[in-house]
Amino acid sequence: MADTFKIVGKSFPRHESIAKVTGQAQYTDDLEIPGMVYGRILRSPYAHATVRQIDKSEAGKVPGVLGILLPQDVPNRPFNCSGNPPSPMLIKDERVLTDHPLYVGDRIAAVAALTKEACAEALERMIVKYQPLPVVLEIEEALREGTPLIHPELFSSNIFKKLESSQGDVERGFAESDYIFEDEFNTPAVQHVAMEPVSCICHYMEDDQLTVWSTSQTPFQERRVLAELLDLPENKVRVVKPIMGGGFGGRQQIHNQHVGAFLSRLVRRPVKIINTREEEMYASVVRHGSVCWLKVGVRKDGRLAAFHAKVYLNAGAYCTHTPIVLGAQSRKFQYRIPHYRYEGYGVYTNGPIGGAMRGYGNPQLTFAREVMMDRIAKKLGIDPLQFRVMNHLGAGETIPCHTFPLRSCAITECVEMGERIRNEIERREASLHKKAKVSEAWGVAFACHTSGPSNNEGMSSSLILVNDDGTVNLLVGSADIGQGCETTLSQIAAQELGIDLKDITVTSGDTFSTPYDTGTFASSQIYVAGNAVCLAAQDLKEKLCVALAACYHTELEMVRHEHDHFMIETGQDKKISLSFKEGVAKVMFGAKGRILAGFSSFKAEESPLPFSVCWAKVAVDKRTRTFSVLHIIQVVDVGTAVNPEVVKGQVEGGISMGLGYALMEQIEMDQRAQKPSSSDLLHYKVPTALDMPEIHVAMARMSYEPTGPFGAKSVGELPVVAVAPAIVNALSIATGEKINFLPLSKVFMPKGRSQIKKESQ
Amino acid sequence: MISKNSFKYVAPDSIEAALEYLLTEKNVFFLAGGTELLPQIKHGLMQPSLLVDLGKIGSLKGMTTREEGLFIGAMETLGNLVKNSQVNRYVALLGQSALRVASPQIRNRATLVGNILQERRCLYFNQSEYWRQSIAPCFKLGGEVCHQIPRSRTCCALYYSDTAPVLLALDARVEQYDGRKFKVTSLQDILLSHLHGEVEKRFVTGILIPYPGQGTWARFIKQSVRAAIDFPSLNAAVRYTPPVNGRGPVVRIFVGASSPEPLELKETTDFMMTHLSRLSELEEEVKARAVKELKTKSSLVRETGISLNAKKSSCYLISNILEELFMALNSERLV
Repeated sequence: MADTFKIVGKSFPRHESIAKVTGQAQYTDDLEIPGMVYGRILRSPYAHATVRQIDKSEAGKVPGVLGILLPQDVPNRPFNCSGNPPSPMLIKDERVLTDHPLYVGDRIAAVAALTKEACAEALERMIVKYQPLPVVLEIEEALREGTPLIHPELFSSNIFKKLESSQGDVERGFAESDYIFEDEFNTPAVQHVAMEPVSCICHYMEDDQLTVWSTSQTPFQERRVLAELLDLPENKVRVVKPIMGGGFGGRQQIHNQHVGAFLSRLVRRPVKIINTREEEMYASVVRHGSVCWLKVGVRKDGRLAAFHAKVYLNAGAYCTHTPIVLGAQSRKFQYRIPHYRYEGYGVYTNGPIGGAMRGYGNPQLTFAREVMMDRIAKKLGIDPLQFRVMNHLGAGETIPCHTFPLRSCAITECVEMGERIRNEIERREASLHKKAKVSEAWGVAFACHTSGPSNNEGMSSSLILVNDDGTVNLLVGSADIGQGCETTLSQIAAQELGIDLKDITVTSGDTFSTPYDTGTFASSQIYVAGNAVCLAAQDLKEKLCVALAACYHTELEMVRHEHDHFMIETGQDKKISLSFKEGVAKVMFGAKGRILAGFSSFKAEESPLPFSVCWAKVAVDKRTRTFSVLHIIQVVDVGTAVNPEVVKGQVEGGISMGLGYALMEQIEMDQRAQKPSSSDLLHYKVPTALDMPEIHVAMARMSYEPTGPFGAKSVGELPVVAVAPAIVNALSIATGEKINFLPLSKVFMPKGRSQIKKESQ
Repeated sequence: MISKNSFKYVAPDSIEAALEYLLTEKNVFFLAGGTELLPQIKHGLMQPSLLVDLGKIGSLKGMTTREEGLFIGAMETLGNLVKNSQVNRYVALLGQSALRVASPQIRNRATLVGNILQERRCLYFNQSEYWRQSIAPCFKLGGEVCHQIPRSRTCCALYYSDTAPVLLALDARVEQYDGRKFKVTSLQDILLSHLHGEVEKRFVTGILIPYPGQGTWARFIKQSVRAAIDFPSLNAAVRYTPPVNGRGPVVRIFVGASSPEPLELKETTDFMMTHLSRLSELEEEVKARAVKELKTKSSLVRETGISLNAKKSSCYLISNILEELFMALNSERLV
């Protein structure tokens, strides 16, 4: 289908790539605002404590220090920092600065100074007396009777949110099952490790106008939260997103911007705050650690009968996204199941804050589910691929707890493509291991995700301004956080308008100059923002048609857009064909001249599911328990791939994140120190290039999502999800062991494929 | 900003000048590659008053073949070792172990002597000042506790050098300059005093590696969570030099990252030496002894990124190397 389009479906280079690789791209830390100073936050080194005393007098004497904020200097009003549309589910339990820190990294005070060195020295000289308090770091601990409550002022339990959704009657389903499988799975908290740390510059101006440049995935949500905290109307708050070095969900909440804004208001100068890597690791957000209990009933013919999941998410000290994560997690079951029940629990602890991270609850539950699916297939003696395919939903069927049916699903094509790749690998590659004690095996897992928020709250708008030479400026509120959506949205606009890509300049993520967008999360860009761009382009074409009709004194019905041209029938059998630029030139100036712009408002009423199938091949030495992931194959159904190279990049990056999740990444809690020990990128292990397996990516060609722009669905988060269970399934087959946890480095030793190659030479 | 405390920096161009600073000034640190020292200064773990940069001392660089063996200057980088033809000719195993250290960028700066004389590491010690603020200072920081093993009276941090096991297996020696003359001491002695915190003002000028005997078989293995960057979870060097003129053979097995100092599996090698005549029949016994000796002598502690269980399983890597040795013995390549 993509072959029929001129612009969509083609791998145009991303428009910002040259600027990035030549160092010209301006990230937040590259920006210098006149009069700018620096800010640093004093953070609690304790996971739980009260601040008995703060003495800032010596800190204030440090040369260059301009101002210091303590908890009493900022509003004590609780808020929720997440970049989600407002919702009563999002508990307001966090404060800008606190004298009762609830996690390591909680904000106690802040300083603004002329130099970063002065900031550091001032923090050093702040005398803070803490009273350490009992610490609760793990879910099981938090749920135990008698454990201290994290928020006794709000809840009588450390469970602050319970979400249930169901269809059918699971007890009846289990009664009808021939086999029942039950087990518990554990996944760790992990960190995004975006290359660029959380960064912001906040400028509170004399006329009570606040401008914030920040690494934000959700400029409009950030504007709303900051306006509320500073008692400003939103028209006085401007949030601008510069080029970003990654987000992955880690920028879908406010981290330092409020502190920066209050500091700027205090010192009346722009204040730049850039996180250190250590602050990133445990003072921003992480993926929720989880405990998942699953019970699955199946008939002897292999049909799934009942599915019951109880999931506990470690939210850390504050609610942030957790209730929305639970909801999103509940809506990702892609198999036919008459009886389904999901119970999700948000649990407070004194651990790092569980926030938004690529996959948003899906990786945790899908890991448990797909490992369980393999065990069921094995018990029934059915090939694990066939077992999944026979139970998989198809177009026209509905995911449990969704409100709309699937309109596109190319899972069978994904399986066929992936199997071809796998067979080719097996054919050309002799075993790398000649030692008898090394076992090799393939594992597989399926996944789905969403295109836009699965609660259908996604909204976007787009404005297309026409220049007098017929080029256009595309304005979108959606933030490109490094995934390439400015380019793909431009492709959509160019395709719809019938113009060249080079004739579009895109501006995004500025609340003063770009129209509203809910935010860059839930894989929204292609589907939600893309539909908005499509509609804006259609609006523009209609307006140009109206203008041309007036210009040629003909009826509107006589003007239509086809094959990238405006066809005007002027009567007397005369037909005129004008390109977009020619049409603009015709109507813009003169007696009946008019200014052209296209606008749209799009509210997503569906969130179509993209799908993926992932294979992993591992080799394991059972005696030393070292193992290598040799190959990862991932085939995705994203409908029309608007820019195949961008899609491929997303899948490769997702595989890398999924690999880390499976093999080695975890925010480790040290019980002796009562805090995370994963403080930097030596303690916290992210796979390096030498740890990567061979990656094989493919896209289903026959899928077309009718509600998506040119048939497209999203890909942003999908590729992370199936990787870990595919690897674990392979390892289970190779070792014969049941594996219920991540990361695998808890009991196995990962070994990069590059090492295997060296040893076998 | 490297350090909140100010320090002086000098870059002398002779060994004598550098030694003079060491002997006359207080709190002097030598800066070689800086790949360990600079992070330590940033974390507030080391707080020099004077930093003496050895980078301008030309006589500390270079690799030369001497009668006694290959001499490697103290300021030679690991990156240079990897690609040096003399290293590859005489002591290829050293180049292989150097290649496994960290990453190319770090190897371009890090020196061999710096790698050998690195500090022992621990998850409670190698943290920022901010992180350590909430726990009591440990032995390494002048405190009175080991956070790994609270009842211990000494620091239990492990030693992680990748090149040390190889150099020990090759009977390497250390050349030092005391202001009047150069003297050569066994690497093992130097390491033990360094790792036990015996403060002795020494100026190491290079490493002397005796030429391994003809037909020497040697292997190095490093296990780490990641294939680059990481310190080892276990490393080991095994060396076998066949008998020559009625002397030998020489068998050495050294294992790192398992205790506060490199472990020599002496009981295993002694067993091999006393059963030389039928060694090829005793492969399984030798492997079992090596694993058992390693397990007995190891004093593992908690590390980030790997569980104790996974680390304990790494000990079987010794079996893998010994398996290769026996294959070589049995194929009569080592006679």
